Amino acid sequence: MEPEEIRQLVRKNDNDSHRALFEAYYKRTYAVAYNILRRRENAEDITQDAFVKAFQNLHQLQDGAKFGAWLAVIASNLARNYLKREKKIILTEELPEISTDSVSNDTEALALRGLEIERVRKAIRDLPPEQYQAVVLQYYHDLKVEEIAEMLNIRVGTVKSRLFRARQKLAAVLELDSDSACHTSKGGDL
Amino acid sequence: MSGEKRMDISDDLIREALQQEVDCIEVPGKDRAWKNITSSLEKKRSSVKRRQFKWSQAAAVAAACLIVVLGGIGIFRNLETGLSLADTDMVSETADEFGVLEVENEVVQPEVFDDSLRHTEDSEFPIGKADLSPPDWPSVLPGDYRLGEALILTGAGEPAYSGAVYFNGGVSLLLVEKEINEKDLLGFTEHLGGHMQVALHDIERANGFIRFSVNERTGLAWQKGGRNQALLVLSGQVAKQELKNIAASID
Repeated sequence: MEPEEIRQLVRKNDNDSHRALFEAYYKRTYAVAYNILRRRENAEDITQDAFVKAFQNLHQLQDGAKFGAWLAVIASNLARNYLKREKKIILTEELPEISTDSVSNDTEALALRGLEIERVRKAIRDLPPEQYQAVVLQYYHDLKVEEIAEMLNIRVGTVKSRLFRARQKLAAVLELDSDSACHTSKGGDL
Repeated sequence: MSGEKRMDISDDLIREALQQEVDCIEVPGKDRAWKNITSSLEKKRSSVKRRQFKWSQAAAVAAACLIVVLGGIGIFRNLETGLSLADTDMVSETADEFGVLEVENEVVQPEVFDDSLRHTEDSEFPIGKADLSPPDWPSVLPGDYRLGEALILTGAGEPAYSGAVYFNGGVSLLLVEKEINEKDLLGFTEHLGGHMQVALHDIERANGFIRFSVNERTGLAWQKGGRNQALLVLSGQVAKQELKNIAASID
């Protein structure tokens, strides 16, 4: 959906525009909630709550084009609060099956790429919620650090710190896997 | 170098990984979710409407109460029976509302009653009207109590007593007097209590004085020079002996 189209829907702020926004953003918002909560039922509830809150406060959104990021912030905040309130322990569930198209490529390079993506996906799921939130806003919603800080109502330095730590963890996972592969190939002990 | 490269790769990988997370995720009943969202929104809307309705009702009730209270005060003022001192810590007047009196818990300093705030003939204290031709009240009483306001305490619209309010910091006193007629000192004291719509308690007679209390405020009554006189502590604390000293100083 084009930014101007999103802006118009946000400006309209009626039942039809709500439905259109819901259709466009439900899946990605659910994904955010699910990645934090790891429970389908909870993620469903949180996603619905996020939409209700967003639609109720749509007039407060200054730039309608940022609806998706704004909704992601609402959903991830709700999910984080839910975890804090319930003191839930995040249990790692099996990753959903990666579509075979992405790995069943003829070339070895693409296959390796697919494996790397899978590792990163797994590593992203292990990020603390606040780091995951920053990562989603920067890499999925393409927000600048300043915009993330404004949306989360935190300092720019805090955003940078969260992103840096998240990247470190993701990089470490890949390095570790890479090192493991080397050790294995060399027959070294692990 | 390999570290830098790895971070670059990570940035790119992160985007792809996040995109795949969304693409691959199984979304449970979208229609059910939409139904729940619209239902929640509708509930919240009707709840807001109900709340607004309640507020408007409350506002109407408050307005009605205000009219009743103000009407009651108006009637009360017209009867001019005086307000209860039991509920009155201090009487003061604001510069903005000349002639309109308000009851405050705070102690009013004597300088509040400067010339610009002098009462007109129509103005009134809760316990009486301004006395525009007051008797020759002493300007200062022992203990450095300074004359603040001269009053005519009225009963059923008719002048009943002459009075004066004295101040010293946080302490204020009401001095009242009336020529001795058919009432003796006790009758005067009780009549004074009735005029102020308060019951007098702990009435004691000793050495020509009647000591009494009004809601834990001390009062003293005596006779001198053909007049019944009384002193009542309106605010603050004054020792019994100090009241007696003041009483003794008044001609």
